[in-house]
Amino acid sequence: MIDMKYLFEPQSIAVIGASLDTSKIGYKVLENIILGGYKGRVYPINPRGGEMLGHPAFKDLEDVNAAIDLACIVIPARFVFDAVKKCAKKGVKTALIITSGFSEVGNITEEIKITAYAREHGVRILGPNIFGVYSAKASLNATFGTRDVIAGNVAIITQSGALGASMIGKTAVENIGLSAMVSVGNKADIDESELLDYLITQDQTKIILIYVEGVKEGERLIKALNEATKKKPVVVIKSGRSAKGAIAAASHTGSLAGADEVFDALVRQYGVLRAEDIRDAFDWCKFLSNNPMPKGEHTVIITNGGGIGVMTADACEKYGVKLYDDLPALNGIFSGVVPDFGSTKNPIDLTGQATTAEFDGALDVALRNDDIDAVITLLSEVAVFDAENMPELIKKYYPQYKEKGKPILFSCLGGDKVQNCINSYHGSGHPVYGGAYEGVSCLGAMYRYYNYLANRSEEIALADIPEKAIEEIVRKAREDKRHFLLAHEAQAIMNAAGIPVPQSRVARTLDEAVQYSGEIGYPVVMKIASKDIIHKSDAGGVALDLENSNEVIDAYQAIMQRCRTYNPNAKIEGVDILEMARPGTELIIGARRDKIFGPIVMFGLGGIYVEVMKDISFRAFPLNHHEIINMIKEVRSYPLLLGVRGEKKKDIDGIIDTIIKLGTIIKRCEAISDIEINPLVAYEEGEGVKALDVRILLLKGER
Amino acid sequence: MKKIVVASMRKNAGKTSLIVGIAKALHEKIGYMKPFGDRLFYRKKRLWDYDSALITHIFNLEESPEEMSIGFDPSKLRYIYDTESLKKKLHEVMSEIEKDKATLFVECGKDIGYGIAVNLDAISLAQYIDGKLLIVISGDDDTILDDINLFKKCLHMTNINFGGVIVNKVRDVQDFKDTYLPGIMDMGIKVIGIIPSREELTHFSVNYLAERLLAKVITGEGGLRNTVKIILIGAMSPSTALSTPGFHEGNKVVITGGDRSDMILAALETDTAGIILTGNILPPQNIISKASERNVPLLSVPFDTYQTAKQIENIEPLLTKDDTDKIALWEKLVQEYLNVTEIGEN
Repeated sequence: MIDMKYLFEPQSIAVIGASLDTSKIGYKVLENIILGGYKGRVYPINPRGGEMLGHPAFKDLEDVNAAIDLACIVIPARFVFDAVKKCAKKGVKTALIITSGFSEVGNITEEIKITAYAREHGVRILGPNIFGVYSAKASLNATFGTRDVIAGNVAIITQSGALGASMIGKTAVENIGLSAMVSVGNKADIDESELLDYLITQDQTKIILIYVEGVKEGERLIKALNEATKKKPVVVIKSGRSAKGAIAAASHTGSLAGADEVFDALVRQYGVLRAEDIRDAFDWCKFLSNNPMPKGEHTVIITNGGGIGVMTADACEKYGVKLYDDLPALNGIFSGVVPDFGSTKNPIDLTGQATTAEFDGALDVALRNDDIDAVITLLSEVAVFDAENMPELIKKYYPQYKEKGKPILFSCLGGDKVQNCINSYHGSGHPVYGGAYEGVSCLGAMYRYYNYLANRSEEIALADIPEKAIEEIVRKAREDKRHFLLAHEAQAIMNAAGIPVPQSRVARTLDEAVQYSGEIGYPVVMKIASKDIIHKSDAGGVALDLENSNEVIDAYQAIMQRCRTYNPNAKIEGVDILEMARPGTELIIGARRDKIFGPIVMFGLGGIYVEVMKDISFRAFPLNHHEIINMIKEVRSYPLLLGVRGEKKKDIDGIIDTIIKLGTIIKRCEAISDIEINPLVAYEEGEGVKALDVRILLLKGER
Repeated sequence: MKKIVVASMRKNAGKTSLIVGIAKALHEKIGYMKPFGDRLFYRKKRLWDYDSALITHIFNLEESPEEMSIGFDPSKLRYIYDTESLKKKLHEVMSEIEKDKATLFVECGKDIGYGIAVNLDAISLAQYIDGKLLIVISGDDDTILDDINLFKKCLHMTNINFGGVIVNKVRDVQDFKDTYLPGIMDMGIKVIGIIPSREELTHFSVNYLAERLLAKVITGEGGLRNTVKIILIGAMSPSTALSTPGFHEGNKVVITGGDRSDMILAALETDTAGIILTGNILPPQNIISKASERNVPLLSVPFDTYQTAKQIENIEPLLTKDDTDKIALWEKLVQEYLNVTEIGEN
């Protein structure tokens, strides 16, 4: 944390590569620092020496006879390593490597060399390939972007230097006040997680906006985001939505867990607001920083137009804004101010004949009523209410609502004059919008965060699992030089973890197959048992619903013949004889150790739902009980679990228990990379679940 | 009733096809059994031999194919039968099948020794059912001579009604007769027919390929009867492929990755019988539509290109029930090159 203080609140700065050539970044950075109002000591470094913008320039960093907290490096890439060495010698705390030409263009070795040296000598590195840092607290603008930065309460962390520079300009246009802005570039050392840790504690920062392209230390980032969202809203824009993981993977959990899908699920899990683009992100930031958090979810739409009211109600549905629907209560609140031919149902329709007086009345009662938590005001230009009346209402009620702790927004619709009215509020922080959806999108983002805070819990759902027994099974598979477990081993782990599986025995001969089938009880399932045949169905190694010994004998012959043909070199241990589970709702539950984000769990309905519809949800593990329920509810086919067409509700507690157990195994048993139950059959409530097929993969090359 | 036991020295010699040809040429009511099945089919908990199902279908036999085999895996036979009970079972099955039949064909396993550990090899079968043993021999000329010598020197044919050998798939019948037949006759081996090889008998349909590979037919169902003569692996660039003469041949099947849209399009631009898409990857919808328009079957398989090619390499071009042309050709070949009357005699 102290390291970050030197970045955001340095007492002294050296600009290595400072220049008098106005076309150079070395000039622009120095100019921004000096003219941007930085109050600390500034040391331009340039081999020519002289004076720069009123400050004496030093030929070498060593010539500065004072301590330096922060060095901005703006020299060609080939000289950067030497500059970092000098920084280390001088005791510089943090080096901002603005220079590009490192890992982003394939020059990875040089970047690693610089970072390793800096780390060894106690110098923290931001960058390389960044546009700099802005810190309102230190009045520091060490960037090559615009100097017109407005101080405020939004902190921006960006991976893209160019986008960061343009975002600085955009914040000025939008009148978004910044507490900090920092680009992380190649993230050779300092990354978003560390910056977040600092910004959480910084009082000026009320909201944090992050632009991410790629995530390196996902598990750390998720932890930092979790801490951040406890205290302040975080908005994330992540590009690369279409980037997919490998098409063919050994488990569904692997193949379905595209990097973006996992990222999306995980940031939502931790209350992060993910925006599609910069426009949404800025709108949300402005709204969240200029409006109070609501106290409840009763939102009311007040309108003088029926059509736009309905459209806005649709927008509320889309963005998850709940409309207050207690009709008698609404009638009691608004009947005195709504004309007889209007409507007190939500939307509150004041009709096209409403004047400022009717709006005034409705907004006033909504402000004073404690059952109403947020208001969406729709102002349509009509004969008796035009653009000139709008500012009056906005000016009067926005501050009052803000003071009362109740968010309000205004959507104004009409011609040129209305547009001018909207434009006049542009950049003012007033929540005035030109359409139904923009404002509701902002209120929706606020409610998502509100709901996250309302439901978040420190409770962690972990299961009691026998780690040693599991590790012993894994060890034996390792001895056998396998990276996966055989069916009976996977079942042994399920048994150890208390996840119900069908009874099973490994039969090594036909005699045993017939004997075990009789002992387990017909009908039974037969599967090939061979470490060399993973895809049993493809090999013709599975026979279902065998009802007597003759069928067992036929199936045994068929499986043996087909598997020998499929892989003549396969070592066949025999066949697994399993109890044939009765039918139920087929689900898929997976857990895997994601390379970037750490342990994650997956839930979905099985069969075509997972194969075709990809109807699945992800969460980082561990998580709490409430979040597991959210995860289950998130799949589109969730109603099937509640029972449709006369079917009874399924055993959701059993599903939750299984998710927790799989997650716990993947978290605690580090040698396991993937576990997948497909299908897990869920029976009616109280009747439990059964894992019919379990696939467990081990981490390669480790342990 | 005549009982003919058909065996071969090596696998894929053409026993089933010859039985079909002989049975057609005999114009009699026939029965068929294959006591030790080796081309196993297992569907919906029913287990039968491919050849039994084929002959049942071609000759409209009343018995079901499941009844024509006693077992498929030695483990079952050892589990259920000893030598005596096996013989008893064999006679039970035979007595059911031979009812009202003029000739019973008993086909042995893939080669002459197959099933010897469970007493279902060719010699044992011929002895147990007291049938006339015909040995089918095929391959290149040297292989044929090796097999005939092996047969003569190593197999004891005492107590066997040996009918003679049929030499199958011979490149040049007249040359074989001139060069080798006198020597074979001198060894005291009766040759009852020398059948020439015909290229058209080695072809199969795209549908057959799809069934053998357990492939999913994505589109182009109308082209499933297309005949496959050439298999090409589409690993090169489309321009290279298009400049390769073989790529312009008709009746070809191209094996390529499902994500190789360029190669799939190149194949669709030429006369193609079918395309096998490997890796369970499907091409974009516009490419599937194009294949559909051209009635070119797209077959999706989970294997990679190498594994797929290897599997195709191992596919035997078996006769199918829909191969009416091939069945007619076998009948013709038998009539022309085989002494059918001698086979029919006890």
